[in-house]
Amino acid sequence: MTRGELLQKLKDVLRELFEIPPEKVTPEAKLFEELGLDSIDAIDLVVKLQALTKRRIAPQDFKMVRTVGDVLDCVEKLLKENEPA
Amino acid sequence: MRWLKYPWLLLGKLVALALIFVGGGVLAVMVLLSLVFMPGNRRERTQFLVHKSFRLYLWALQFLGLIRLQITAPEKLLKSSGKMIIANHPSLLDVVILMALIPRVQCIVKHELWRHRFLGILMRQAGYIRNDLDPEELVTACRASLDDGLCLIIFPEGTRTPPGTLPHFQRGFANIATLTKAPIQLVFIACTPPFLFKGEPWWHYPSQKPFFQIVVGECLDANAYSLYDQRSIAARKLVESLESYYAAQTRSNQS
Repeated sequence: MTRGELLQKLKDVLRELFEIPPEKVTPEAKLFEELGLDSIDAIDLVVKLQALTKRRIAPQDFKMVRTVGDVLDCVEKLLKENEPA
Repeated sequence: MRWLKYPWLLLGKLVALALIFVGGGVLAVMVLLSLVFMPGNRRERTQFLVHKSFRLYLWALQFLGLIRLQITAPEKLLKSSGKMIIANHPSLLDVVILMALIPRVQCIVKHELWRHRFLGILMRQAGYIRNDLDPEELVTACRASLDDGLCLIIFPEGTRTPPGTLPHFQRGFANIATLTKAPIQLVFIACTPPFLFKGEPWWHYPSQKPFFQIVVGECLDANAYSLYDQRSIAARKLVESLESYYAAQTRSNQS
């Protein structure tokens, strides 16, 4: 999956989970300050991403995530490195 | 005559404020003594003592003529168990009033108080929940308390409401609610004129005796706020609907 496709997928997820308008979801957008996520939302997001990628996300990997771009990096890394669980 | 009364009222206020902090020390000693003399577990005993002391404290404030207090439907709170208690937060006394009205409570307290000399002892003995816990641990601690039949008091604003403004809620309480499915008991607190509000100078005393009105409102069942597929959406809708509920209450109280 290309980065553009991933971003599109993430837009869908963020709209479904948090009603965030897709046009606000840019790689630079900050999840907590600009898109209004909180720490419990982040857990919901991780659960959703795990279900979609069928891979486990280590909590420490997601701790550093601040922006939409960071989420894309994290997912790309997962898809590249890990075999499906 | 106002200039005659003011020194007395101000003295009363300062004594009352000092009592909270020094009284914390007295309470801490009582808690330690109760370890020896009272049955039951440590947390239950401490919470019972806090409840009784706060009742006494409120009675004293009224007896000294420092405040007036009116409670609508207190029996609803007295019988409450395993509910979340949600309230707006105009004054420093709000938590004292709620804890005096509800026998078995749990609250989330800012972590700085664990370092306070007297109150720190109380926090540990009463087993309150620290606000700096990891989010998942915090929810787990809340769920355990609710399952245990305690009422979880939360002021969703996270701090006191500045006078003359409408409450602005944070989402934490809604996250706890949607995750634990606990019923939500709504309480509206009004204080006119504003007293012990955020940023109030220590020498301030209102020109009229502060009148606290505690209105115990409806209790929302989990079904009433879980109408959405996604928990995260349900939490957002809950914040919106309660914010407008408290805004309406605030407006009708002011008019």
